[in-house]
Amino acid sequence: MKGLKLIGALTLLLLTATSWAQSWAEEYDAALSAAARGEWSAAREKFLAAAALRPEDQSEATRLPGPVTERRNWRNGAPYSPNFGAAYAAYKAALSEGDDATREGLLKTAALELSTLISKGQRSNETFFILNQIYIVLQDTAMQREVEEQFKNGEVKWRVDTAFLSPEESAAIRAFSGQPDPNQNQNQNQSAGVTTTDVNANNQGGTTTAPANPASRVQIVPTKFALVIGNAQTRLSEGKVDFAEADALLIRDSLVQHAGYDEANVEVVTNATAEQIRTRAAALAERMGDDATLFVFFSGNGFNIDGRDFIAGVDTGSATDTSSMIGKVELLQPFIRKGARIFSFYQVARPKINGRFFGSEVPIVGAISQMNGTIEGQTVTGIPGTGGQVNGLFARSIASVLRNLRSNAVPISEFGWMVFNDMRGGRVGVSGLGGAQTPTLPTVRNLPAEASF
Amino acid sequence: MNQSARKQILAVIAGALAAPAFAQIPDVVSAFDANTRSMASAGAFNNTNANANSAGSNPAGLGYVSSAQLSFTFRNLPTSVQRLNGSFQNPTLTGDTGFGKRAITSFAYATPISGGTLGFSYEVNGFLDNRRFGTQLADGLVRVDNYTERLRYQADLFTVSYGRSRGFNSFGFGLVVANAYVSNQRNLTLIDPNNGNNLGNQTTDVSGNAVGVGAVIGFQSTPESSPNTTYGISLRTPITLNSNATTAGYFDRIPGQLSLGFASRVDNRGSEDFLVYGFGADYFFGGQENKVIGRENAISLNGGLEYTIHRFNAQWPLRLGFGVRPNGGNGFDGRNLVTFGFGYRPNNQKYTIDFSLAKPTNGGPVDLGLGITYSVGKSN
Repeated sequence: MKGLKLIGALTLLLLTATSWAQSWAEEYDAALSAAARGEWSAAREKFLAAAALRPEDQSEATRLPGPVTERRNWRNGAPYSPNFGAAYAAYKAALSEGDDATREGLLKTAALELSTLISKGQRSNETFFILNQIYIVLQDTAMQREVEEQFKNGEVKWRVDTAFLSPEESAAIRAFSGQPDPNQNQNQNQSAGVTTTDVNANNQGGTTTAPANPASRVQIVPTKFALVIGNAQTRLSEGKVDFAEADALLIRDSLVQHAGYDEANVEVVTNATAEQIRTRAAALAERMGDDATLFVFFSGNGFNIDGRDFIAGVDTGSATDTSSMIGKVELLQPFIRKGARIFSFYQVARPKINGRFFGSEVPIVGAISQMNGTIEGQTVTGIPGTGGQVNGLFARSIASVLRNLRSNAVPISEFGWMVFNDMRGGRVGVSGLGGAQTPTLPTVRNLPAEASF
Repeated sequence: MNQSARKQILAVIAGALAAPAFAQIPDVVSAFDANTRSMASAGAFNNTNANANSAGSNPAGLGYVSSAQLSFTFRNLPTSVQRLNGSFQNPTLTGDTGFGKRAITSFAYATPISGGTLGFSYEVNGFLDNRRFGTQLADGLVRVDNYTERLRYQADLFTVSYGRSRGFNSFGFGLVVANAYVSNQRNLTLIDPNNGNNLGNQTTDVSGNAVGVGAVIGFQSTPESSPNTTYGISLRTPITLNSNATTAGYFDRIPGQLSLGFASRVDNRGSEDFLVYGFGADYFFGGQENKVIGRENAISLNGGLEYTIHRFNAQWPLRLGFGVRPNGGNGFDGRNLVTFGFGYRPNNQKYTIDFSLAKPTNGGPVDLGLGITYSVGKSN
């Protein structure tokens, strides 16, 4: 009886002892839950609350209190990233914010917080990636360049918690950093080699080997269409893009195999006149429904005349002869009328002629993103790949990134960054030529930054 | 029969009821390692562990159990045999120990609940199965022939505990219900040594269950300033048995146990392998010396280590231990142990298998134990 009384007294004493609670863990868990529900403002608030209780992000596992015989790590060894999480949540909240001023404020706050983490040595692929996305949305190319330079100047070893990143972002970051995709099919590049006939704009038959193993393709999205144009032939005296036709076929294969495009929805036009291009584009638009996605790729010659971009046909003999060209906006007009979301890519040399260069025109009407294969004043370059086939650097990088992503919902912002980095740094499966060619990042008009094709 | 002879007969009978006047029964009445992981490290980590078995050994360990788990151990219950020669009252003894029967000696279940962890534990707290034989045992005016006796005892503890951690410390308490079984079966024949006449046979068969209630409380700490060291302390009250009118003379109170434990961890910087070593001391108190199975205050000391290797997508803990187990009462012998064991914990699987053996330094067969731990449900 005495023993029971003693134990009862000790029990009471210890139960009333003050406690050290893991409330930072509770706040962090609440942040993760809010993020999972897409409630980014609430997630940010909880991340900040966690940081108030435990201020510093931690790359290593957090060891939980407990006996040495049964050591436990918090969340199976995940990093503790409340500050990164708060900044990311601000970024995500900004993307869905309707008010421009609020949106910009959130983006700048997120950028500042991420920059602070980088300055503290917390250099992670995710931090750089998201920071770059922010500057893309802010259309601040100068800061994008600065982020790129920071990224290159130093090791990237810090781990952040990736539990709240979207799968597309995670895939993009993996590809961007050269990490293997754990879900990637190792045999994705193999095909059965079924031969089909592809008729180009001049009704000249050609054969190519189309991807013939439907089981290895990304699941098709029937509302996705593509207009792929490659004009290798030209009557221009200089600037011939010899690999343009090969690029068109490469892009076609990549879209069908790795990006969920139905072969029947991909219109390949090679060595065509402006009229033929116009006709094929109209026919494609006719087949599209009202809520379609259009991928446009052009490899060939283009010019900017009086502020308007033009695509040259195979019969264009002069850089000023617009009668043999088709305007870029005119080309997209049938699709704009259909309400399509257009993602356009131009592998066109952009020399300055009379102070102007192709790619200067950004369509005002329509939901359009536009990405050029080279920066203003520069040309485009082709390199031979395996088997000796020469393709343009831009087309090769597009194909490479699509192959690595293997997604039927490719986010344009991430995609643009990945292609940029692939061409510049050679990380994504291609030994890039570094400074040989630098693309522009996508310019997005009337499309959300997270829009995908 | 004359009066003197009658007195001798009564003395023999009384002698047969007295506590054994020798110390050759290896003592597992108090310090018995019921679960296999404890057995493999000689009980060194009983107070510093955090698993379902903590419900019985140190409920504070439950405070760090974050997912429901159950475990059980299947091991042997060692027996002993004594042969009497010469005098019945002061015999010359030779003895053997036996492997004994096999049984589930430990079962535990723990599950997190709001604010802490609830645990249930069943374990064999103490065990005795001793047989004695002898014939033509002289004792004055009479002779004892065909003497056989079997004394058995087993105490089972059922504990319901609650443990709760707060940062670097954890606290727990529990209610203990004890069930003790005692059995004594004896046969002997009294002979007149002068003429070989049978003076009578005596048979005794006493057995019974007794129940008692006690409590256990425990505390564990892994100080923030010393994160690789854990200290533990626990106290279980003596448990007085009730409803045991027929066996109270044999055993009437399970001794209390005050235990201290210390464990330290050394991580291998180059790999995930790690070493944990620990020491423990158990003080048994509050027993009754004047019973047939008498219990004196005694201290057991335990030391053990566990080295965990990470290979082949699993963890392989290797265990060694040494236990100093002095005799806990008159008529018993100490039973020091050298222990060994290993475990198999496949990564990303819910089960763990542990195997252990313990070799008494005094001789006798090796004790063997097999344990399985299984995680059920999600973490809290």
